[in-house]
Amino acid sequence: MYTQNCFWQAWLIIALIAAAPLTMAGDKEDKPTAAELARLAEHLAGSFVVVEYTVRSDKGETPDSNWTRLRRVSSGFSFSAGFNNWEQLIKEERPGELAGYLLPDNRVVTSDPMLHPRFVERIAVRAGDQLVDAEIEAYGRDRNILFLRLSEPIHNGKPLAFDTKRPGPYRTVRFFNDEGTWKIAVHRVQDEDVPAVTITPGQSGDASYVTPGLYVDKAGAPVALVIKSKAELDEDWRRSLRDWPTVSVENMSKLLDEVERIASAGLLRVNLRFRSPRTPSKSSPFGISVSFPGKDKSEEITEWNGTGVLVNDTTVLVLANLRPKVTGRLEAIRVFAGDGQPVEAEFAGTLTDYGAFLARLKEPRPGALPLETRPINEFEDEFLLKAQIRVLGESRTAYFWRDRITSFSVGWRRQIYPDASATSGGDSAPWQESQPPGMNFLFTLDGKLLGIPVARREKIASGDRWRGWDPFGSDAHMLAATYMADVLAGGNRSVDAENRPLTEEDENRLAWLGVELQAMTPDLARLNNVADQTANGTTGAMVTYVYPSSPASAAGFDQGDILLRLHIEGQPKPMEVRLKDENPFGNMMDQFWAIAEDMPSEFFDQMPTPWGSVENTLTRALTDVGFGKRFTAEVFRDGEIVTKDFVVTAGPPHYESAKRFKSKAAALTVRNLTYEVRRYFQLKPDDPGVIVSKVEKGSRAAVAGIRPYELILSVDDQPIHDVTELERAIADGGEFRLNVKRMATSRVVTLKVGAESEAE
Amino acid sequence: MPLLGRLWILVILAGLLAVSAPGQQVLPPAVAEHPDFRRIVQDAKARVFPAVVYIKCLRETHETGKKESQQIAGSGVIISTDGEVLTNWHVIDKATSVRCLLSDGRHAKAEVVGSDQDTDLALLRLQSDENAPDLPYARLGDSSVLKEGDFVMAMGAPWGLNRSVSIGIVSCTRRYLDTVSEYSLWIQTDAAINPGNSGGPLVNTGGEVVGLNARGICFSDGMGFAIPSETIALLLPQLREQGKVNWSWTGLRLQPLRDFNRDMYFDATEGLIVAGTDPDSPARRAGFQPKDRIVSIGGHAVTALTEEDLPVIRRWLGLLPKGQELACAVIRGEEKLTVAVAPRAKGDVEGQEYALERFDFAIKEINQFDNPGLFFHRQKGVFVFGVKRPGNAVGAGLRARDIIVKIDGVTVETIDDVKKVHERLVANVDERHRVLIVVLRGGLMRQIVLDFARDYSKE
Repeated sequence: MYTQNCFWQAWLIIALIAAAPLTMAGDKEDKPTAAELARLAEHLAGSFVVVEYTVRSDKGETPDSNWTRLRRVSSGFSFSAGFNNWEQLIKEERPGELAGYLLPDNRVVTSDPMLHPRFVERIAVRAGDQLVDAEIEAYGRDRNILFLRLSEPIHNGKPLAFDTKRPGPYRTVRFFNDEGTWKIAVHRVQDEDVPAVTITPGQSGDASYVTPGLYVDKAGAPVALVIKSKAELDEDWRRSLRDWPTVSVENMSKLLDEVERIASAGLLRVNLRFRSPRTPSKSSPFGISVSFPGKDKSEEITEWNGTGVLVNDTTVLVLANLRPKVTGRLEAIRVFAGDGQPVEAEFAGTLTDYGAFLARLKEPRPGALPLETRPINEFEDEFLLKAQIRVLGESRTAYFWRDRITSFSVGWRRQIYPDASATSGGDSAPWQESQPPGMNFLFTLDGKLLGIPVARREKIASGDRWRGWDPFGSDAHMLAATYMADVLAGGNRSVDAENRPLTEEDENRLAWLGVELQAMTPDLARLNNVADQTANGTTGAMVTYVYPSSPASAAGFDQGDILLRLHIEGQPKPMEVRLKDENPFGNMMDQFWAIAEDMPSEFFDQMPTPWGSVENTLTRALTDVGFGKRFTAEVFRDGEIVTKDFVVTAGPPHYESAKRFKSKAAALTVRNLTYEVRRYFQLKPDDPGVIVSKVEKGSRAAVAGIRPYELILSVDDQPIHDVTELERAIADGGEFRLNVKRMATSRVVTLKVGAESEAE
Repeated sequence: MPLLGRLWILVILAGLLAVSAPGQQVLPPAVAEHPDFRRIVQDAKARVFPAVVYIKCLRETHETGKKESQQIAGSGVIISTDGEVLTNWHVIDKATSVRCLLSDGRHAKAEVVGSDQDTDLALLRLQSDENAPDLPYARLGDSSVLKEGDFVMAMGAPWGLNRSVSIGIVSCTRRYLDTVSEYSLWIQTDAAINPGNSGGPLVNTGGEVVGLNARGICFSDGMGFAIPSETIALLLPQLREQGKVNWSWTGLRLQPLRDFNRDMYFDATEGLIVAGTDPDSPARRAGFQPKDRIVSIGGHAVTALTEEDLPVIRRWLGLLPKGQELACAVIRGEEKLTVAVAPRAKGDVEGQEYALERFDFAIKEINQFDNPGLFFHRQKGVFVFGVKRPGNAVGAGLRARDIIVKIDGVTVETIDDVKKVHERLVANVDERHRVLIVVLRGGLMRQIVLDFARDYSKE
């Protein structure tokens, strides 16, 4: 009976009967048999077509893929299963299939996959063994549909001629793909005159809902197509297709031109420049990273290129999710308008809750984008415009096309987030060398900005830090512009005062507790009876040293205390103390110097500090929380949990932030002795000395045997207490006798130094 | 210059091997008249060669975190009829048994009579058979008359190939190797010296031992270094009678007036410079300051113009009587003053070792000279010398050079302290198999939980 070639027969036709017992008196007569429904489905088979999208990649990119989105998109048509994403289809050399309904005049209505034309190789409509090219004629304005125009008629096609006046009882018919086979399903409609209703109590504009699908009468004559799941209460769901608002292809291209014009003035390329990190991370000669575990090399960026939104004539919302440490080095902001000319801007404040900051233009620019302040869920299924902007260094590429929001979810502080993707492409773990994502912006048809791709700034920083940081925004969400409008109206209340550019001296400022810590392990936790407090030793840290005159010593911390977690003011959840404390060089320094004696000076720069950085995930997180914030620390001591109150305070200078003096004449750099360095060398707070932090290769200092991390105690018998004293001592040049010390041994080094002023 | 000056960093202890080299004596005029060079070499060789021995030792090592036996091969030379054999300290260091193969095929066990790590010298005595024929022996010559260009022969067992001879010239009579020994200058020769030559003689053309081959340079040809016979002769009595060289120690770190390597020159032609003093040393207590210039010690004028002058002065200081105050004339800036210092016994230069079998790590005593960096943190104590892989200690995160402060609540100062805890815990492993060890790493206390339930020795 069926043959492979016979299109109509190849469709396996199934009919389903609603199982629910009938409750309405009027329905009692409507008891179709399965055979009757199957006949009806067979009768309608000629009205269904398969729309095939042959997609291709463009510039190495493939269309965004979001399976749940595709599913929603095909609401009313049934989802055409068989693929999860477009990229898969390219690899598998097959088109993506969506259900379509044949209309009179060689037209087809189908769901809108929202593909950018650059990815579409061909649109064709298949009916049986006939494949007909098609092109888009119009888009649904408030429904997820588009109309196709076929290049030639479908033989044996049965265009749907809707007649909304036809009386019930009705059937709904679904045309769907079941694991590669297109099938038709028929349901009996229980009572078409009594639609399901959903209301929001106390609000006007309540909506009624009708199950989407093709509605036909008992004989299979088409009555209505329902695509949109929402309708006004007084609206007839049987509204004719002719009355559906659409956007024609011509109109669409005008709209795209308009949004391109708006975007070129309001979505600007922003170039950020950062001062070089004062103390960049080092790597050892063996390639082991010796920066603190969890330190992120992307924090050392010196340039950022991305997008900013001109929100009024002088304010740009720069979509750069900068950590405080990075913002600290921010030196210059340049905004490039459409004409390519840069406008300087000043930093005006980092948003507390979002990964963006405000910059103030030095001269006003026209073209500020109005923000849509209506709730975003009012735009469900609406035809929207989308700008995708990708900034790669100095080049900015932009694509414009349509988009729709088909569903929403509730997020942070009950904000409503659309399912529209905020970014496209890009590497999932962006790095400076990788491809940053394209940022998607949503516009309404009247040119207002509706959705902004921006990351939410997470509050809890400790422990999560080594998940890496993405300055390029691939962790952005599509945020409704109305929320951003509230933030901008909030002024200083929306701004984190601690996340701002700092002077070079302050760049490495760090909060401190004044303790050295050892990470917990399961064994250590159990032996100290804190396994249940530390998630079996995966959190918590043991105090191994308490610095005198530190907050920890004032609070009575002692060696052996176990720091569990911090309750920080304004943080929704306590910050678990979690750190990796491996400093592989701690006990090797004397050996290291022995090697250094004979080590070519080229390697000096790679010598790790033996004392380990005081910057760790805890101190970094506290710094990011901001100075002045209160917190309570939970400490486990003698079998009990003790709490201590603190205020986040800046620690004294540490090695990375210590005052430096780089002597060109002597070809070495020294730093003031800081608390952790003094601890390592067992020096008292008033013992003299500065520490050598860099020795230029091949220099006199290197020849004289001065090595990194040696202490210079005196110059010509004058004790040196800080770098200023050293600078003064050698300023005029000459030959100096330096008293140089390592751990326990000291020696005299003679150094000939030219006058500092004469050094190049 | 720095690169060249540093090359000897690559000097390897020719530890597993023995070296020997012939030295050429000052040629008597007669030789010049009858320049039968082959004959001279043959004669010289013939006088020493029978006395060269091939040495094989079993040594005990803990570096891998467990007690391990290693076989070491080297060379030596018999220097007396009663079977005294000279070799290097590093050949017999930590040896548990010493076997010697004589050139005539006889073999004998040997006992260590004395050794000195600083100068890398050791004296053995063959446990001879009463009825055996007389032993051949070689005479010690005078290395101080050697000149660059003199012919010398190296004898020994390079790479274990015993009864080998190579010939070369003296490349340098006074080679200073900074970090290798504070008391020695070396004879540098281009006679081929390879691993296994260690302890073998360097022989001059007169057939006398003028040096003891000790080391070479990795990946380098024609660079061997020998301990001069002058040093040997000076220390031999102490090795013979006391089993060691009982060095005196002041803790002075000395620097020459002309330090070319560091490009430092002091405006003086007499004396030497105090670079610094060791912690807790007589010199530090005496009040020596860095940059002091010492012009005389105990009434003897001392001058080190260059670094080559330092070893002799250090050696002289090292052999001064202990406890006896020496008045040193010191110039400090413009000031002339007298500083009195009394040398004391240097003591051991290396701590004892012990392997904790079940814990899978070995410990060693902290020694001021051997581990100054650890001594800085803890003067009396033990540290993790080696960690066995795989093993319980490595799994617990214990690292080499961790200083052990406490184990199972017991404060640790000596190897014995740890040993007792180890024995007690291992005996009761069925009751408890975790121990808390507090270590000092980089000056910071850390707690380490060592689980010794697993017995790696069975695997």
